[in-house]
Amino acid sequence: MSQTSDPNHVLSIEDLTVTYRTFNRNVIALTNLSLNVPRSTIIAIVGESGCGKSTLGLTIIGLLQRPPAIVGGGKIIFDGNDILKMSESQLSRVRGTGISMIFQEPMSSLDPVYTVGQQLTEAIDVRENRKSGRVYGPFERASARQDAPSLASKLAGSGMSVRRLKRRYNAGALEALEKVQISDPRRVLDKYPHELSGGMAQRVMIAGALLERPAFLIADEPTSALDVTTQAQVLSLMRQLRDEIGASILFITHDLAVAAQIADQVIVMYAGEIVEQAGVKEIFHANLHPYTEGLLKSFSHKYKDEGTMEAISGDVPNLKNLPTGCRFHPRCKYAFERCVREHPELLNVRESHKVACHLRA
Amino acid sequence: MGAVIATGFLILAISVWITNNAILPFNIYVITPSIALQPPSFAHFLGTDDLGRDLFSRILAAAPIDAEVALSVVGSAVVFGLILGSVAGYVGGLVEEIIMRVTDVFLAFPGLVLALAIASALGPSVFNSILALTPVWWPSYTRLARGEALTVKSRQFVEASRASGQTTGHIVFKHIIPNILPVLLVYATLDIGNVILVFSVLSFIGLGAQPPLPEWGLLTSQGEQYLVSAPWYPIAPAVAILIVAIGFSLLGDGLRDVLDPRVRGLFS
Amino acid sequence: MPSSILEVQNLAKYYPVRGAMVSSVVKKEKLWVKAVDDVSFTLGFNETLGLVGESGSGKTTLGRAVLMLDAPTRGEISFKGENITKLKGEDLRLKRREMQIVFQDPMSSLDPRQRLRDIVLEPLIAFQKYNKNLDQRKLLSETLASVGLPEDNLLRFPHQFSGGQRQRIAIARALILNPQFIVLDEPTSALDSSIQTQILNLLRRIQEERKLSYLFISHNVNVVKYMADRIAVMYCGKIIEIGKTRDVVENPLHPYTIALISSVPQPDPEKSINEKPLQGEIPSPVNVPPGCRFHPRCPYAQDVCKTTQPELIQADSGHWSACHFANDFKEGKHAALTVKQPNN
Repeated sequence: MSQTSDPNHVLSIEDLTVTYRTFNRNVIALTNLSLNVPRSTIIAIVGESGCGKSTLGLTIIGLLQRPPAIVGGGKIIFDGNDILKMSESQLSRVRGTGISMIFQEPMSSLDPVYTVGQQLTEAIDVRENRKSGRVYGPFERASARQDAPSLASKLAGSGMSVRRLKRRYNAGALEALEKVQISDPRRVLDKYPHELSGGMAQRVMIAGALLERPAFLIADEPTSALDVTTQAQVLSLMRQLRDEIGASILFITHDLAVAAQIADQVIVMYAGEIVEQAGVKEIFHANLHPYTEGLLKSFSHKYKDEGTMEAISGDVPNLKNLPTGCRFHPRCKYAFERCVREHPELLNVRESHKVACHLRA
Repeated sequence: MGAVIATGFLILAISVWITNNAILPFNIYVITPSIALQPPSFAHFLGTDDLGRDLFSRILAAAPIDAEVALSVVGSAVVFGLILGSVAGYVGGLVEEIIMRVTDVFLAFPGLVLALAIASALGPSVFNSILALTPVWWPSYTRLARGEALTVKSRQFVEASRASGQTTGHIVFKHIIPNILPVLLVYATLDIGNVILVFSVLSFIGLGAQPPLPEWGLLTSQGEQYLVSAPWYPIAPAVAILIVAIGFSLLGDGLRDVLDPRVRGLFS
Repeated sequence: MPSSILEVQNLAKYYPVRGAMVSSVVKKEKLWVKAVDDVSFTLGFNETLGLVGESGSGKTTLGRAVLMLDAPTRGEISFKGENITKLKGEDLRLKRREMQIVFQDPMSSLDPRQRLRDIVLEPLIAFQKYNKNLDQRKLLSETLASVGLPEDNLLRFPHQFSGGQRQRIAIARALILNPQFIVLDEPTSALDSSIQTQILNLLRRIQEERKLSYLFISHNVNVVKYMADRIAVMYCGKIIEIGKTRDVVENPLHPYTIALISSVPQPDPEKSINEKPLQGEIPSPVNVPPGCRFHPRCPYAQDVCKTTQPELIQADSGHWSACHFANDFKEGKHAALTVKQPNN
């Protein structure tokens, strides 16, 4: 299919279905999900708990535990290959420089027994080894190597490795920390992860991602655990990633306001499906799905004396027992008879604006 | 699996005890030298001992005795440990210091040595063994309970209780103890095997059950000299200890799941 | 009749730093984590005071200290005109009937082994001997009705409810003693956005019905905007700005508040946030900077800021700020202050 090798798309997902098998019932995490990610684009995936956004991220990078997860069908095409069909060793080659991922809790992604400098140097080594065709095996220890500095970095004066406490780090590690605006980067190179604050640790993660120059980065709630002032900085760094290395970012979040700040495109998910997909301006100013409308209202805070905010009634759906027809209908104030009977398709209602709702069909 | 073995053991012990050995195939006390040391056969499943008594019946007869000792010792250890440990952990301060230091003193003695010392002072008998073993066991439960109590104490629902104006006593009994009981019970089931083993050692040296009372440790010790000539004699009771110990330990694993209301929900 | 339900004066809560024995012997001074340092404010009847701050600001510690859940190191708390700081034992316990708390995470604030009915009734048991004629069942029904929980689930355990329902249970538990003052510590931060709005609306409705006073603690300025009549902004253990919500949000008079408000994302792609609001990191609470605590990160810091700690001054009607130059911010003259170059 021409879609699968479209050079304008860095990643293509077709009809992805993922279920989790539990003791007594199956939990449907994703249903027939299709999505194309263009190059150099930040797409925000917005949804509440249980919508499947984290499952989506983990499936793309192949970190989904199967079992208990079962991929029922579909393809994820990256660089011409189907990720779902790759073996673990093939996947590990894709990870890092092809597809990278950062998580909500940066502390858990950093190895506590190595310094920041060592881990960043390792990232550089991975990238360098891959460029030269060498496969980075599981037991190879990254050693701090003195790379031949490029002319540009020689001119910038960073042709020497940073030496401290007999640890030598690659000069690129220092550069990376400077790029993510960490103050006093030389000291930070020698620090261990637990000595960093949450914001700093997340910036170190992004520095690592910058070093590996992935084509596609999945960020799963990267700012949810951060203070709002730190969040602002991290968001600008993500944009830097897109602009500098042309990476596409899948920014998974529950926070619509953050999506408004960072995204080019927004995808709204509910109960394992995409219910609306459009450019960022349309989602906020001309949204078409009742759930998007309701969700937007939850983020548009008024002052106390300006009256009450409208809340979506009901609870987030039980994935073991989904409603018939449209999964949102029990909570939807516009629901009519067809919504109970028939499941709405995700259709292109306007140019680059898709929605799955009978009201708009 | 563990539940099956453990329950089987308990049912056996109770039935033997209730019927006063009547349900056993053979009388365990009658001495018949003529059939001494016979290998296992249809009549005598596990052979006979050196005095011609049916080994299978003797092993079964030992069940209530071992059960009584194991359950009493572990039971009282759990009760003591639970209360002392929870109070120590939750109240803290001087109370905690006193309780824990006393516990430390007891823990400083190697368990077996302490049990032996008490047992020999009191004189050899089953009841005295229980008295000797209990002080060896409760300190570790107290320690465990205190550690768990510290964890539970820091959980928010305990603070919520305090904020609602609950008294300390209420919090300890209604919140702390129910939340640490499962851990202690699981530990206890794993321990039952241990108690039987130590009791067997006491009997082995002659400080526990006295002949002609059947007891697994005692039987093993009596059969020791026949290890080469009549191996079924010492091996059978030893295997009995093994099976029961493993059974309870497996039970402990399963028990942990059943007791957690969250996991219980998975089965509903 | 006291004019305010809660009056806090010079409240401080210090925690001793553990394991610092060697350095404290060497330096001959004890090291303290100054979680809350010299905080004063009042809360009126039927009023909500929002307490906003980022990590390390001390807002949660303040919320708990006000309820005497952790005895304050210094300072005075007056509840309905009575000094409760010196209360202990049974006297304090009895006072708790009038001041309650709702925590952030309903999963950990409810005992997983208790059924709904027992969780909500439990506070009544603590005071049973004072209330022998109480119809507990009826009170339970009424309370559950006010939080929107149906009565057919009385025997269920917390894990069988959804997040929003669990938080309603926690609110019911706080309400059953009929308090007049509730501390709400991030009550919706652990909930999904669509549920958050439901719970916030519930809290507002209950406040209206029962004429309650709230201390609403949150890191989310937008949520506090919706709930609070007045806002207090905390930084590093101190209140650095306090005033009516609209005034503080639209006209902040402290550089930290300015940075904070400017970095809060709004659900509108046309309204972009300031992406470099602050330099540096939050200072360690053990080693607080001299003078104004914010000066190392403040783009407007002058010499006086490094030496003298600013007090809260009333820069505008009902609007206080702990900044030497608060008046300059008010008059828009702050650009004239030498802007410090970002340094490392």
